[in-house]
Amino acid sequence: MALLEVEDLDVRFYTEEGVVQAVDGLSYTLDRGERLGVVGESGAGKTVTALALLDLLDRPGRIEGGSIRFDGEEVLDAPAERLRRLRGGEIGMVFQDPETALNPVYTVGEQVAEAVRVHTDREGAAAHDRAVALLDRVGIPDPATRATQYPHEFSGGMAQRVVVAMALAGDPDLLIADEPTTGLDVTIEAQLLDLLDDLAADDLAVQLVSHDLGVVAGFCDRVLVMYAGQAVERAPVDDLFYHPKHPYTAGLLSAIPRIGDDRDRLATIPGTTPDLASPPPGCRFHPRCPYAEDACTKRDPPLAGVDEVQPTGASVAGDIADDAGDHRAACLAYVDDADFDGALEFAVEVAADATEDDEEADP
Amino acid sequence: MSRNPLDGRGRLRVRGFGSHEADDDASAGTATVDADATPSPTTDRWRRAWARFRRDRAAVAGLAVIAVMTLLAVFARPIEVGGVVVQPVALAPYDPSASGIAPAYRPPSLAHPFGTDWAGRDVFSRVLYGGRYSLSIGVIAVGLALLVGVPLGAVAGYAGGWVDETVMRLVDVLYAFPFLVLAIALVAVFGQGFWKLVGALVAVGWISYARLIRGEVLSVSERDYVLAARALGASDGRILRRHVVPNAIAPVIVQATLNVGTVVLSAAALGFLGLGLEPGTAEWGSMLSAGRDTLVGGEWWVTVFPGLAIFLFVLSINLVGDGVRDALDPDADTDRYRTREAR
Repeated sequence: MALLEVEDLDVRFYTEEGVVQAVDGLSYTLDRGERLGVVGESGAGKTVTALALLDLLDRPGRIEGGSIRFDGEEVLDAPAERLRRLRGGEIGMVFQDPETALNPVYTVGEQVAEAVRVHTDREGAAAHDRAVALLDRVGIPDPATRATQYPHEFSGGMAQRVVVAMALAGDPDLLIADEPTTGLDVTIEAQLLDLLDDLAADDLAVQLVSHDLGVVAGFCDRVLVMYAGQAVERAPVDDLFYHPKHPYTAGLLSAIPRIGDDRDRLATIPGTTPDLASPPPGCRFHPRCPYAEDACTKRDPPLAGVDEVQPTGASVAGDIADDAGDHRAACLAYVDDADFDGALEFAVEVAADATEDDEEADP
Repeated sequence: MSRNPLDGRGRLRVRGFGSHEADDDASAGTATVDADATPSPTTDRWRRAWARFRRDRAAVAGLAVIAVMTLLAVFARPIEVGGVVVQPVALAPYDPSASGIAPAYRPPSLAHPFGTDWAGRDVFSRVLYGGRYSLSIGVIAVGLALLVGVPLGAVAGYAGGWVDETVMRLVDVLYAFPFLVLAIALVAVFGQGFWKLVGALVAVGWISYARLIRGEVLSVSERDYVLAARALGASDGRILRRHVVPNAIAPVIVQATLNVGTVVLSAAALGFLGLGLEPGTAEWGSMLSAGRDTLVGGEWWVTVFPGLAIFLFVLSINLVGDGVRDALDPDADTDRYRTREAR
């Protein structure tokens, strides 16, 4: 049984402009110790999904359907008391902006200690000692002194470490990191990813929400690509980057700038994300898809398995095998009875020193 | 249909650059750690606010005046608690309620620095002693109003829905009455006396705090650290007490400080209208009221000295309130807010 099973999740926001379908029929699973990357453009529903896992959505957002099972237990029906133990105790969350995620009026030691008190029996000095140990665990130098300081005395990277320490206070099995490195510069980002890597080695599952494909490639085991509230592709990380199956994924990959690129302009995916209050009919990506045909405007493609021999990462994939194959894409090209005549004519070319690439992509 | 999004893409490697990479990374890492390890002296925000307050001379002068008036009031006459004298000092030369210690309407002299009133009572002693009423009414009424208004307003703002509607509509109804008129009506219904006066002032005073903190709570509740606390499994009560209210309280404190002056003034106004304490009490407003006939007769000292005492106290409280506002105003402190370091 997977640690986290999300099935047919359906989240809507009731706004004055109409009902916004922020997450539509999303399903995925996450095993113990696994690292799942969730990528997509802004507004694809990544953060909403993360918040929904802890039932943290506020009005006007509502979870309208589906099921979220953590360790086999339904989250959505859980009583308030159980939900509070789940939050922080079994699922920890790291937020995007560390400087607003810390309360300016308390010392960081006090804030971590509070999280410790909520989830353990420790009180007073014991909670404080545990907080200092946690700060040490996330690599904050001189933790005893730093614990007595206020959030404004911390740099962005250090503050994010504090947020991670708070998320670890309840000794969770799953850490949801919502764009934890956005706004940090690359060296600090690398240090923070090292820390997450180190933590994930202790059988901690991580759901990393990001729009940085490089971060996902380096860190995750599997990737879920979201577009307009739906999962459009789900694959082990190597398959996704070397053999993208959905045109949207291919478009995202082609938009990454590279050192030594001789293009004058970066490739873009034409158009913008659709207004989710009135999504386009059929496949939600078809207005922007270069391969779209008539059939795409009529039928919403399911997340279908793609028949392909797994060239790399097969052993990793084998452990987490889904019953219908672990590389799936939501495109009519992979639906047998669809009225789709064309072919998806993109391919990934790997530069000459392939061994180097393998190392890079291997987490 | 032959467009290829991935055309012309390849991985390029920069040679001759990566050999020191590992070393560079390591040294960069330790450098960062060192920079962060130098602990700066830590001060909490109240100490920072106090440091800023001290730089404001007018506010410090106001605080000094209030401190002196408080000391004079406390040490004006001995205080007995349950028959035991806990404060033996008597700065006031005469008993403030003893009449006939000198002929009526004596102008200021060495024996009676502020003169005497119609009953031959020493005005100087009465002004000193009257501080006890005015100051304690101000502090107690504002303190109780905070105790009522802050929890109600905070809960209304945090809970929203029908709780918010109920509390805020009650506040709106009370707001519809002018402050003093409502207080007069309450005193007229419940009668005179120290605690009834305080009760009337609290009943009309809490609404402004409730409204103020509700607005602040609405904005603070949207902050990320509140969401973070919820994601950590903290209960609503805990979040409200520990995360929301401490971040929303500053404007309420400013308002409350300024309101002490308003409340003292209102108490004096009620006293002047004969609705405050019992007639003859050495409260500043009542003294003004009792002496208002003397304005025609030319015995100015009977009203001028209690009036000056009210003026001085309210002015000082306003100076202190302004100082507190400047000290707690985050905009005044922008240079201390750290901009994100680029490393």
